[in-house]
Order: sequence, then C-alpha cells, then structure tokens
Amino acid sequence: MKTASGFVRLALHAMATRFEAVLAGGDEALLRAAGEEALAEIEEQERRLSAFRPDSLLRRINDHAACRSVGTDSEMMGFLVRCRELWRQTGGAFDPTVGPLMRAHGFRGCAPVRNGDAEAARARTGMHLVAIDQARAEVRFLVPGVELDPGAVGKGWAIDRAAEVLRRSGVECALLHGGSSTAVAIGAPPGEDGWRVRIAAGRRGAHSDAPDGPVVRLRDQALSVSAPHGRSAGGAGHVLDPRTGRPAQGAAVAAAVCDRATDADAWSTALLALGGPPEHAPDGLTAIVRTASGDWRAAGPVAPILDRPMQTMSIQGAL
Amino acid sequence: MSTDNIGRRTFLGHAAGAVAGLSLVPEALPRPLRVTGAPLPVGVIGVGRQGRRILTELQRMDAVRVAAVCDTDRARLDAGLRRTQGAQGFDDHRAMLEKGGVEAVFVATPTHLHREIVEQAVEAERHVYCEAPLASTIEDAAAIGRAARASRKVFRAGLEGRSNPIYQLARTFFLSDAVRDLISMRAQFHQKTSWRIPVRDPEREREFNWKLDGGISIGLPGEEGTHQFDVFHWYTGRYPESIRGGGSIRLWDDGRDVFDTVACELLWPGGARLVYEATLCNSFQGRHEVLHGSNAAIKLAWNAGWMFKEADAPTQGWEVYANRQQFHNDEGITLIADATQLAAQGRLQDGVGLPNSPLYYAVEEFLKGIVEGGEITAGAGDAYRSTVIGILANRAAVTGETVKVDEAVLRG
Repeated sequence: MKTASGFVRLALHAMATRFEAVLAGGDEALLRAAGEEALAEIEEQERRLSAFRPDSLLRRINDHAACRSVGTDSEMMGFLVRCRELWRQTGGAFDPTVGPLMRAHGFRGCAPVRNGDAEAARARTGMHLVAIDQARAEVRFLVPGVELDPGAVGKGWAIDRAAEVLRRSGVECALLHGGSSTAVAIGAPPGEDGWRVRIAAGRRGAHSDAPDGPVVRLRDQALSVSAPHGRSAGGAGHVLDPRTGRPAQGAAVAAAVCDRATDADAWSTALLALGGPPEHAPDGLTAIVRTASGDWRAAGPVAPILDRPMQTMSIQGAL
Repeated sequence: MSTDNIGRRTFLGHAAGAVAGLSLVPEALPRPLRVTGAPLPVGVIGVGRQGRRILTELQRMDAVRVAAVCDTDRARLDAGLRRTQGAQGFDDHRAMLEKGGVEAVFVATPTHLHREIVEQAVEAERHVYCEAPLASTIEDAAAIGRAARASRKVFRAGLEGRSNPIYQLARTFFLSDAVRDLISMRAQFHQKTSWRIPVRDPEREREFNWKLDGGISIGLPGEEGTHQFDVFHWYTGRYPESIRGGGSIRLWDDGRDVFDTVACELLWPGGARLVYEATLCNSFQGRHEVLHGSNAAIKLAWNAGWMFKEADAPTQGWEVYANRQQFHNDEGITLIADATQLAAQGRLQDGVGLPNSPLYYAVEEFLKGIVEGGEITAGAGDAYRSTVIGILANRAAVTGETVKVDEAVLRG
C-alpha cells in the first residue's frame, strides 16, 4: 500500500542489512509487484555471492579454483570481469580478493595474526592472481590461498541487478538502497529533478561540531558511501587498503557517484584507501571525501552535488 | 523402502531391535553426485524465479551441463541464459526437446502447463523432473502419473521434503518410540508477498498472474500446501479422509479472486488432525510443519529441525551431547544431519542448518537417479496423491464446504 506521501515502500533483510525500495508511479499493484521482484533478485544475489554461505556459487569458486578451473555462469563471469576492471581503475585500492587480509585482521571469526602472517596474506591478495577465461566461463586461482570476498561490491552489484528488474518492469521512478550506504536512483520523484540524498558527516561524537555532509541529487545514478568506523577488530576499522594490507586511513568518509551501484560501491571503498579523490578518475565518477582533518573535497562532475557543507568544500577539476 | 502403505506400528515391529541404533546414529548427509564421464546435458523449461533457482543449483554440479533453456518470455529467457555457460535458448519446449541436445528436463512452468510438457518430454524419452504440484486439476495430475509410469526414464516430482536430510533424520525419530503416539499436526506457510508478477503488457496479465486467477490457480493450499501435506503423508503413511477450510482476502485487495489467507483442517484416519494455515500477508515464523506426539514434538522448518521432548519421555544416551536451542519456554534438540561425524570432529555446532538448500538435494537425487541408478523418493505416485490433497484442500477453502477424500481417486 502507498505511504501518505504516495510512494510504495518495500523492504527486505539480506546481506546482513536492510534493503529498501521506494517507488512512485501510477499503478500501485504493479509497483508493488515490481518492487517484490527486485527484492527477490537481491535475495538471489546473496545466495550466489555470499562468502559466508556454504552453498553460494562464489564459495564454490573459493573452495576449488586453486586446484582446478571452475566453470561458472555468464552472470558470475560478468561480475568477476567488472571487479577486475574496477581493481585496475582504482590502482588496486579496491580489490575483491581481500579475503585473506580480512581473515588476517580478525574479520572472519578468526583471531588477528602476527605481522609475518599478515604479509603472507597480502601475498595472496590481488586480482592478478585470478585467471578469468571468459570464452570458457572458467575461473582459476594462480596460487593457493586466494579468496574472493565481495563485501565491498556485493551490495552494489545486487542493487544494480534489482534496478534492472525495476526498469524491465516499466518502473520510471524509484530509489533502491541497501543499508543506507549504497543507493541507485531511477528517474526523479514527482515534481523534483532528482532524488536528494545527504551524505553523513561521519561517526557521531568523532567530530561533534561537524556539520552535515553534502546533499547529492541523483537521477539515474548511483551513490555509495563508505567509512572506516563500522565493524572493527583489534581496534582497527573493517576497510583495509589491499595495497598495504593495513586498515585504510586518511579519510573519514568517502562517497562515490557513478552510473552503476557496483562501480559506486567499489569506488567508495577505494577512496577510503586512497585518502582522497584520485588523480585520474574515470569519466562519470564524482568522488566526495571528508578528510581526517574534517575538510570535504570533491572531484569529477559536480552536478550531483547540491548543498555543500558550511566549511569550504574544495573541488578538483570541476566542470 | 516404499512409504505408501507403511504404518508406524508396522515399522516399529520390524525395527524393534534397531530403535536404539536409530537414535544413536543419525543419518549422514548424502554423498555428492559423482562425476563419471561427460557431464549430463539437461534443459530447464520455464525460467521464472523457480527455474532460475534450479539453474543456480545445477551450476554447482560438475556432473551436469545446462545445454538448453526454454521460456516463452524473452526477458525471462535472457535472464535464464545468463545463469548458464552458453546454453541454447528456446521459446518453444518442443523445439528444445528436438534440438536442445538434452537427456533430462526440469519442468518449472506455471502449474497448469505441466501436463503437455511432461507428456511430450516422456514421449521424447527424456528423464523428467516436474515441479510440484504436478498439475492444477486431478485429471491432469493423473495424466502426468500415467505418463511417468509408462516412461522407461527417471521421473521425479519437485517435492523437496523427502530428499531433505533433516526431514529424513527426523522421520527416523518419528517412526521410533521417540515421538510415540501421534496426537496432532500443524503446518503453516507465512510470507508477506503479493504473489503478483509485474506485467507491462495487459494482454499477458493472465499468462503471468495465473496464480491470482481463480479459474486456473489452486491457491495457497495447492501451490504451497501440496509440498507440506506431502511431508505428513510420507511420515504417517496415510492420507486425510476429509478436509474443510476457508479463506479470504485480508490485504491484497487488488482485483484478484484467489484468497491471500486460508486455513484448512485435514482429518486423518484415527482422529489426528492437521491444522494448516497459509497467508501472503505476514511472514512471522515462515514455513514449517509440526508433529505432536505423546513423547515429543518434531518441528521441521526446511533448513532446520528440532525435537521437543516431554519431561516424562525416556532419555537416550546420545541426548547428553545434543545441540539444543531455546524457544521461549521450550528447549529443542537440534536435528543435525551428519551429527555423528561432526561430533567426532568437535564441530557439532557447524552442522546446525543444512549446508545446501532443500532444492539442491531434490535436484541432486533426480540426477543421481539418472547417472547412478539411485533411489527416487518423490515419484509420480506420491506426487499425484499429494497434488490431489492440495487441490481438494483448495476446493474446501474456496467453497467453505467439507470435502471428502475419495480413496479411489487417490489410487489414480
């Protein structure tokens, strides 16, 4: 049923978070049906991509690809190929093979390891260790101990698949988000020029006098926000810099606006590791970072950015 | 072992000397399907949500190759093909049977379309996995049963309870003295969903939203209840004598004429009742089945199962080491497949819940039947009878009248 504001709103718990779809349009029953189909797709993506489920397709790759080539389907191939491309674009600041490092730092139910073992984990990290044969749809790990962990991009990928379902169903106005950290906007709400989303300034209390972050306007774009202050182990945040094997530092909050949620998800994680907007960002990426000192910096097309924080916000390469 | 006519006391009589053995040695997880030679080429007909789930499970099996996928809807066909490694796509199942190069097919189309496809697949000498319920009319279900019996190939229905390792384990307890006299049964299907499929072309509304059409659909009792009723048939070896019920539209008042909430009471010979409730309006406690016995109750929730013992029930030695979960005032012994091996490894907690979906085990059993000659636990006869009960339960709910179950109809 529609909310008082006229939207159809649905929600689902998956991937250890809450996904929500907000839809607007004419036919309430059709919107509801489309939203359910989209959320069912998110559930299916969790079944396929979860590194924690023993029966996921990703787990099958992790379990066997070090010993032999593992065949998989076209959709999984597409996921891995996109991950590899994002790994290259970010210079390795985003890396879906971060599994061994996550374990080494105690994020998979294991105790954190000593420095030497953490270095060994870093030696098993890197998409260059994953051989992808697109023609045969097969994957192989080049050394033992490699582990795919889609935590930094799985939500975005699932949201993109769900958004495709909405578009195929004829939905022209919707906002779909996962855990309030990754969102995709289809069209704009009635009477508006886009969906307005505010980026949170950071952990409450860390900068108690810090103003809110910028508001971005999304229309047929995706936004993802990452921060190191979520889960922690041994006092360290859960976002690791795959290039160094250490917790990402230098940025308090990072946000990315892209055409696809998968890309935004990967870039927001990468920006934390980079500590700021990249020097050579791909076309279409708007990078927004709050530095450790509290300043906001942005680079790329700044059209999505509406309200800027009270503090001076520096823009790199503004159009 | 045929379960069609076995009664509990008959089983107890045969297994009296082995009851202690049953309680000390829970069932192991099934051995994975062996890869012997070239992968078996299979096809999936109907790639809506269930068909795509079947494709994902097949992708996990090295002994199988999805060679072809079929759907009359282009968007669904494309979505299905993305879940394969270069399979051929067809919009007509006859073309797929002729040119798809498949030895086995999975039929996952709308229920009322199963009959023609199964009959033609059997005629084309293919092994067939047909989703349950088999059909939306008793006549069609009987025809599928006849086709399956006439076939020299493997036929399995998509009833997922009988191949479920936890359900198999729980059944050994049910048939032993652990549960003892059956008092009553209960089951529910709760999921908040409209059941509606988004359709842009009004001309295709009925084709896609057949579940909401009272002229075609067998409603919640048929579409969902069939799977759950089958569990009770399998456990008790009996079928209800009569069914009464009712229903209404409680939430999804969108022009449909199929109830979104139903309740049925199925009366078993001897007086035990199965109270069944299903709704699309609330998700609390999801889908599960309960058998209440004078010594214990068993609760089955598809990926997990528990036994709740009465305070005055005898204690078995293995229970000292059993994993337990607390549910408010009740403590349940967690039923774990492979418990003995896991306990020996100190990993009993790891076994809580199934490592694979119930669908996986059903699909694997079908394929084992083809490749290894393995036993099929959900054959055409059992599936026909459970489908009949599902259809009659829906009839009872829709009419509000008590429906007698004709044994002659159950015999087919």
